[in-house]
Amino acid sequence: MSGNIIDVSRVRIGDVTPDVKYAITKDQIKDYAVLSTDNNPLHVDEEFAKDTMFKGIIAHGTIPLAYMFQSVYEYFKCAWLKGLKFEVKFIAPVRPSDVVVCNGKVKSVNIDGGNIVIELYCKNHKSENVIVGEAIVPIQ
Amino acid sequence: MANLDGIDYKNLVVGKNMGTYQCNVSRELILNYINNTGLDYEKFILENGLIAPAAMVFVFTLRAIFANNIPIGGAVLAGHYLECIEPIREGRNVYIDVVIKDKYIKKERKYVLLDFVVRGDDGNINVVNTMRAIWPQ
Repeated sequence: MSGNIIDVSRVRIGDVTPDVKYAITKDQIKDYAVLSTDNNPLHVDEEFAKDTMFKGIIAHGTIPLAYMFQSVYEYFKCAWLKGLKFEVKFIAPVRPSDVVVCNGKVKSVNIDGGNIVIELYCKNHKSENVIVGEAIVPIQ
Repeated sequence: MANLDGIDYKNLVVGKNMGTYQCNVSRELILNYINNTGLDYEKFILENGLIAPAAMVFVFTLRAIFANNIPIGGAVLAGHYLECIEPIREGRNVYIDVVIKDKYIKKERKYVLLDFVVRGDDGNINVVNTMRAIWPQ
């Protein structure tokens, strides 16, 4: 796969990438545990999870990352960006029944540096940041 | 997760290769992931077939952790860094090397960094990933 075909002329600082919204469910978490083989009781055992600092089941942190990536891909109208660098920090847990909304904001367009920097956000339905980060998209 | 009994943070050796995990990326596996996340299947069909959505790499890295009995059971995820190079295509195999990149203590919390390198059958790198986790207190 060659470099990314990005029309830089349509990218503006301050652009907001499309909202990708998803309601997290217990079944989804359970199935993700099977798929990933991560059966940490924090994700699948309600009795165990209620006695932890989280006071209940939490989603695998990597589940909402799908929606953060998707927001970036939808903005660039593609399914893959070669050389994309993606860095995130987990702020708060995502719980079953949370509705996450992921998007990003174009922070800089560096023609000389050959990249576009996008701030990334994943918020829950209370508009609290649960994951934040940055994507660096190579222009070529 | 793996049993942490008897495993001490001080025994984690920085630089140690924790092994290689191999996985066949079948169409069914990709579709299971797409169904699980509710992503739009059609967006991941390229000219040569289906590709794994970028975030599916975390399914492979989690599998690599548990297949190699890496003792991070009970750890809390703090961050991820990912660099996407070549897409992972249906029907191919991926080979994931896991290395303990670093460990450090900050604000009385113990952290561990794991590096994952995901390669295809041809040996070329698809994705590199670094996971930062807080060791169970």
